[in-house]
Amino acid sequence: MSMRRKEILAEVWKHLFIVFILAMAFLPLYIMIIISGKDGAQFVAHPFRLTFPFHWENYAHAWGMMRAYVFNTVFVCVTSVVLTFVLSLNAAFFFARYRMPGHKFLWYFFLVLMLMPGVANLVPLFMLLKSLSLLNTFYALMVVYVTGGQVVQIFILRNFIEDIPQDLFDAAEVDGATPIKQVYHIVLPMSGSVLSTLGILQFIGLWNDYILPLIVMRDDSMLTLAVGLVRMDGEYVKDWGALMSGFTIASIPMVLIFLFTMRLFVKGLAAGAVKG
Amino acid sequence: MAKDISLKQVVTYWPLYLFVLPSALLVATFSYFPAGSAIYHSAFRWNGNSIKIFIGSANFQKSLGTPSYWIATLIVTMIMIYHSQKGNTFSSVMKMVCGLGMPLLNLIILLRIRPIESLNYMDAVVPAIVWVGVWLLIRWLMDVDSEVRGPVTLALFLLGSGSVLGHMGLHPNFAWSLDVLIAGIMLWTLRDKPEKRVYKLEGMRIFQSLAGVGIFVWSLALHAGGEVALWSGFSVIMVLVLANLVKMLPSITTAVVVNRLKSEKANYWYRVLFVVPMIIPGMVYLLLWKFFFESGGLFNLVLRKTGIMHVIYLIDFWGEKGVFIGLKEASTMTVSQVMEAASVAAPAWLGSPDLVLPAFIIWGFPWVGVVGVLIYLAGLQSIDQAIYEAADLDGVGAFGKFLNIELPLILTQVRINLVLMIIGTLQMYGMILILFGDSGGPNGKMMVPGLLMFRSAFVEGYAGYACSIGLVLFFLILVLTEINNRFVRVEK
Repeated sequence: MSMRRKEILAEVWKHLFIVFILAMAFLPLYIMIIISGKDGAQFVAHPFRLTFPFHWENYAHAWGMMRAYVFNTVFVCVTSVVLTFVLSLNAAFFFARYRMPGHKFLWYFFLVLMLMPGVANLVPLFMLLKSLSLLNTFYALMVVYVTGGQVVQIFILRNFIEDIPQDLFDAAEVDGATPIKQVYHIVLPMSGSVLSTLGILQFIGLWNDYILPLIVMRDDSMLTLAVGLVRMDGEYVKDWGALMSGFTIASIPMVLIFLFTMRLFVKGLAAGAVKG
Repeated sequence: MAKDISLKQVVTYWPLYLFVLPSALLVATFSYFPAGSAIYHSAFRWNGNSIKIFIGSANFQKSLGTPSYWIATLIVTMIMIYHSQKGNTFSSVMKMVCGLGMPLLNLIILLRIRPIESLNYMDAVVPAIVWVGVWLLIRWLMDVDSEVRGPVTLALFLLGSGSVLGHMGLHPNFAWSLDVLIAGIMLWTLRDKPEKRVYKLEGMRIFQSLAGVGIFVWSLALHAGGEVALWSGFSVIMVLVLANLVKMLPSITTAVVVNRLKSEKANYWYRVLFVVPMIIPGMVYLLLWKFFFESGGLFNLVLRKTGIMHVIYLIDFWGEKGVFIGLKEASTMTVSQVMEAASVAAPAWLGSPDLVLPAFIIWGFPWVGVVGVLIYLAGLQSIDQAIYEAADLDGVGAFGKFLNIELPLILTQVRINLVLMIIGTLQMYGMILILFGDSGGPNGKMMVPGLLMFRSAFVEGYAGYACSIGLVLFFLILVLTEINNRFVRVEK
């Protein structure tokens, strides 16, 4: 009997520990949402408690300021993720399925890149973008994001494609499928969870990227969300309600993505998509 | 299996290259070209635009100091790394040269540059006891059946005894090189036990010789005449790396605890709940934490409510650090006055040069990375419940289960995360740029190397110099990656 009791006690401790960790993890979320509905007086009186009335106009105010940033960022991120998929799927297919002359060289050409820290490249990259007159355009962001994002994806997707049974490709070849058709009719449908995991991770990274947009973008209307948020944080120091509403709005696209892909994402992580 | 295509068949199969051509072109233009350009321009005084004057290695001299010292040290380091895992006599000699020679050389050089500041000989008793402890520890570790535990424990003890010496009035660099030297003498005078199959001393010797090289590089950084801000930035980075190392533990613990839950349903739901905080974008999370650390923010409130603030104030008062209470005021204050001050205290954590680094360490409490937890959980999934029951029967404790059952399964992920963490922390500066702009925080305390590079290039207009700092960082990361590949093997 005492053994059983000890076991239950141990379980309770485990649950308490996890609940504590979860509570701490949710705390920023809670505070963000709570404060987003406060005006100045409410914030001073009860900063961390739910107060009524809930000021929805904070959201309208924040949305007015951030609308352009949100659209810019969604456009840049979605385009970059899709383009990265196209490039990395094709390249990974090439490396997984064929041993062409120069294959090794090309592989190391990408491999070395994983060692190269972005920090050393930043200054010359900026100068390059400048001389290509890409500064202050979205192309600059996309092209750098696609270049940086595809390398890791090629590595993971290569392993994934090598694990696809050979028979599928053989059958397709007998039916006269060109390599490009094999990519889009065999590899693409099979790699849903891996691609969504990779895509989400890349999307999160791009959504938060700060330094490149900061140095590349000049016009206020072209800024991405990360830069816009920091700018807002600096300008609206006292208006916490509007600021937190802005933060909440910046989180909403993520919520949407997670709602639609969460199952695939958790599955992809579990399947070892990013295990290395 | 992959299809082999010979050189002759290329005539028919050449379109296949088109699959990889766009990627390769992009990479060549936007990764390799800038990298080459960085190397090229690091030899120029360049403002990023039109003015470009060849100045040879002057950029590197400005950041690093005398290049010949560095080149010599680098050669020794490379020989060391090359020989570190070979078993022959020459390699052993090399290890001994690095492990004993480098700290000794360092001591001699330091004695000439900077004599010992006020050494209290009575205090030498403490480190002597510590060294006896180290010696006993080495003897004990030779009996333990683990290759990893030796070097890790040795590292911890070196750190401890070195800091004790440093507090005695020795310059820390001097103290640590003495420390490493004595540990080296111990390691090289002890004999490996021939009846044991695994040579335990070997791992520790490798570690010790690496530490010897590290000590020397540290000394070069301080005394070779390089840019002061760069090296103070590296020491900040070192602190952050150590902090991040500790911060890896909560994720592992959480994953293990979730995995050990008996109920499958609870396990699933926790897993889902852990994904939810991930939807806060990192930028928002960062700004929220900045908000917490405001003078009137949540962090101070929590500290005051839990009484931790009082403890901190008392430590500050008794230790006469002068961080929270000015030293002048402290001399006239009583304990009750200190407590009173603590109960209304609202220090600006991100505004004070003494508090900004602790704030960065506390940042993100409870340090559970959601992606990390999910990846560890994926590794842990394969454990059968029966293994736990067997361990229970054998009377293995909770920690023993972790060491013997769970850790081996997630070791690969832990190591990869470790390497990624170190590389990431080394080039971290975005967060500081967001919080403080390009000034590097209060008194430039957080001027990390990356930020120094950013500032040189985009604020001061020394693009060539910025390129050279970038290359130093790149090289450092390359060396770390190489060390990792050699010493941290990933068993599949």
